[in-house]
Amino acid sequence: MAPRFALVDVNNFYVSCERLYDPTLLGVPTVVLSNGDGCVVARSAEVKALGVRMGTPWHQMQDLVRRHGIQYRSSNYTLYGDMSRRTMNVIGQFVARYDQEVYSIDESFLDLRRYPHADGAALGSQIRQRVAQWCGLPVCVGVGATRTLAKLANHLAKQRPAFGGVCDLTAMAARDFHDVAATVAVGDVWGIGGKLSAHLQSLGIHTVVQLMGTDPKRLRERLGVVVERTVRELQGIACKGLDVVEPRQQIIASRSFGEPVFSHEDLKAAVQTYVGRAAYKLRGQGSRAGTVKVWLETNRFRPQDPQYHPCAGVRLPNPSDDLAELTRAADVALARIFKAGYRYTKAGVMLEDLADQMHVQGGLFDAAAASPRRQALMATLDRIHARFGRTEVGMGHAGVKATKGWTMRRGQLSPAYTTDWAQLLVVEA
Amino acid sequence: MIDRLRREDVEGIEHLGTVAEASPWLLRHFTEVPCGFASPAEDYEESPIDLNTVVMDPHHREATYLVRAKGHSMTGAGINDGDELVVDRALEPRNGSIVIAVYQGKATCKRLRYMANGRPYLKAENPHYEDRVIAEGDEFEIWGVVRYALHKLI
Repeated sequence: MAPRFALVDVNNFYVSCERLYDPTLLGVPTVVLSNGDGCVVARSAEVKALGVRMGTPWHQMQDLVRRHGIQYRSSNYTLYGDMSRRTMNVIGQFVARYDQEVYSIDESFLDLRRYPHADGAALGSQIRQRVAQWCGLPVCVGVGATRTLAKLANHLAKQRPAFGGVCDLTAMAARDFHDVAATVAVGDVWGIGGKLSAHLQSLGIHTVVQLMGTDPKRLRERLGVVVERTVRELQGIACKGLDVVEPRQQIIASRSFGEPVFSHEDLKAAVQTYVGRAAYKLRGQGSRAGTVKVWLETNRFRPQDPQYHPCAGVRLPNPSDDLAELTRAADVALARIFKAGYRYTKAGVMLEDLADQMHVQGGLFDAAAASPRRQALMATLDRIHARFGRTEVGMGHAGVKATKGWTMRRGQLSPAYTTDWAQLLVVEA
Repeated sequence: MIDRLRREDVEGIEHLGTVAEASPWLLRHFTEVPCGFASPAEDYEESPIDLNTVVMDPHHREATYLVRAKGHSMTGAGINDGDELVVDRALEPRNGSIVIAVYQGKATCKRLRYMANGRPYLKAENPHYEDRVIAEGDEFEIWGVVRYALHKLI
């Protein structure tokens, strides 16, 4: 069974999600901005054509916005998360469960070695058609003998209209592949970032064909094992199979504040809310955390402000998923780093040293946390969380509804169309 | 019912069939071992009716979306102002299907009909509303087929 991989990738995922529910954005240059409406994190094809780069600060492109009528949306991760789940499940319908690897929110690899008779191009267009119909999202499909080649094929499917959204390199004549690979820059290869790309170019390697023709061992000495592996993968030798999805080893909850925050009390409220969110994820994956870290940030882009970017961690005596315990640890960490007199713009909580719930050693002094009553309380919190949204109840300040200056700025947030009964798409009847 | 639907929609397919979901069943069957006589109903036990499987096609879970109707143009088809509609994007729209259509940048719920010349039009199910014939070059797309209307009575 010859190895063969497909990479399915949603085009301009966030923008495409927004367009599904708001048809007025179709054909209109549209961007989605990062948390806090800071910079561009997704661009429609029209915006890409204007030369706007990923990560461009929103306030720096106001001229273009006025000139071209660029529309923007704040990032709506609730919506994107649900659309991602739907899309990945639809893509997964084409192979057995263990042959699909969800690689990111909008990309999925399919391991096709168990489907030797499936025609890559036909499979690709079926996937395209079904995702478009079921989820209303455009995808491109690339097929190759290795994951790096599948990624390259996907790049071609996306960039060159002649492919019609599907490119199967395994069905391409060697000559044709050579011709097309000669037109792709090394920087467009998976895993070759800006720095490596500059390095390769200084060695006279500019195109994929040149990279493939280089002795991988020689490159290893100069540029490391990753480049060596990439070259081998381009030559058709698969270096890694599908990775088994492991539970996250680290859980982060952080946000930029809508307004700068000055007081310990306000930071505490924010941090406690983030602990609540992180703990929810923690229990969702069945883990316990051994360390709770808290960090604070001031605005790095305001050089006139005094800068302070502290971080502190607290080790728990025993790994825990108990919200009260995690909150207490976060409070201690925050108290350790808080200093008055700074304009804080962001805070975050990180849970680390995660252990499986089943494999936690019982300690002498942790009887309270592990008691069934406590477990029941945590389960109830999770249910409330799942049912009413995240901020109804919580530890300390976290559940209190007040005008919070620190909630994030999201000027153009689309509704949670698929996850909130009160925010369904309204259609005229 | 509505709560139930909503929760299902939130948590989606991954949640179904997990241990957490299965445990009440396990508890009922394995921990409540009757000490006296067995319940005469035991042999007749089935899972309770799940409205999700009624209002949506379980095979089309990923393609099922909920929207809310606003307006009175479809009252003749049993769709009232404020009703929630279960929309299935996996279904092929046919002549006579009630659909969500995107027409000139707006999502609207109407009955899809075709004229003799093959041109589609959107038919209102209320004599006070006019049908809309789709002209050549109009922005028009079928967003999904309406499968169910949920009408709240209290």
